[in-house]
Amino acid sequence: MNAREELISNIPNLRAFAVSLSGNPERADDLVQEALMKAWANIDMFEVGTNMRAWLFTILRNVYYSEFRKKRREVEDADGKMAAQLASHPEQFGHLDMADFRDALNELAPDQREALILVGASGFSYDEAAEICDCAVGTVKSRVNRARARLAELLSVQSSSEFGPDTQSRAILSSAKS
Amino acid sequence: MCIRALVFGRDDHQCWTHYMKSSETDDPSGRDEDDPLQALIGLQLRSLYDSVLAEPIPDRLTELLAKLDDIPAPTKSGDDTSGAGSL
Repeated sequence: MNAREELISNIPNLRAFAVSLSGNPERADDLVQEALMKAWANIDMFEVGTNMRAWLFTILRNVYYSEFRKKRREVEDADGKMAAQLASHPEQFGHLDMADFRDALNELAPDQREALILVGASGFSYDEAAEICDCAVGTVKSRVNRARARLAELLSVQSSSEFGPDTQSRAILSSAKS
Repeated sequence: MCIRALVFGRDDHQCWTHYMKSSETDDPSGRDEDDPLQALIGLQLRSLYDSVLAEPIPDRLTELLAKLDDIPAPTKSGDDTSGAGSL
């Protein structure tokens, strides 16, 4: 696989990371596009044989923090749109659907959110996540733990009045088995 | 755990814990199997992520990559993406 093909093969993962990070699909594709341009412009700095996905995630993350956080207000304004889009194809978790989860995820501090995504969804090890975030492994672990605790808190408050153990436990059980 | 008590209420907690104990070996997330809410969070997170993973690559990105072929061999001075943005 040449470098260009490898770039292409990583686009779905970059988009998933970008959506999770920015909370906005359109912004996410801007992020991915910017990251791809930067990656291509600097492809000679990529060491063949090393983890290109981690390299690309690092670039995308840098783009996000250097440029896109300046537009944070716009992103926040678009959150309602994002929630509406996700609500159109909710996952089957009873009342605790994807829009609720998305809202809770957006509530997290950015450093905690990205650590959770890298480790909990992108499949990176703590070591790799630490490299991508340019911080210590212990810091990543701590951020992931705080992210999980905060999400639990947010989701509990969100759903305390409607979160029935009967339907919910069945949903978890069936998902866990599938 | 207080969070579970918040979610399910004291009365339901016993029932819930019992229910999850019978299923925890089936939990794919491994490390959070002792906490059903954390298991749920793990599932939701991956579900959200995977839903984007499964989407087709937008045209604007495939078009961009098609054009990469036409870009001369990159150099270190190519770090400036403002020019490249007009592609």
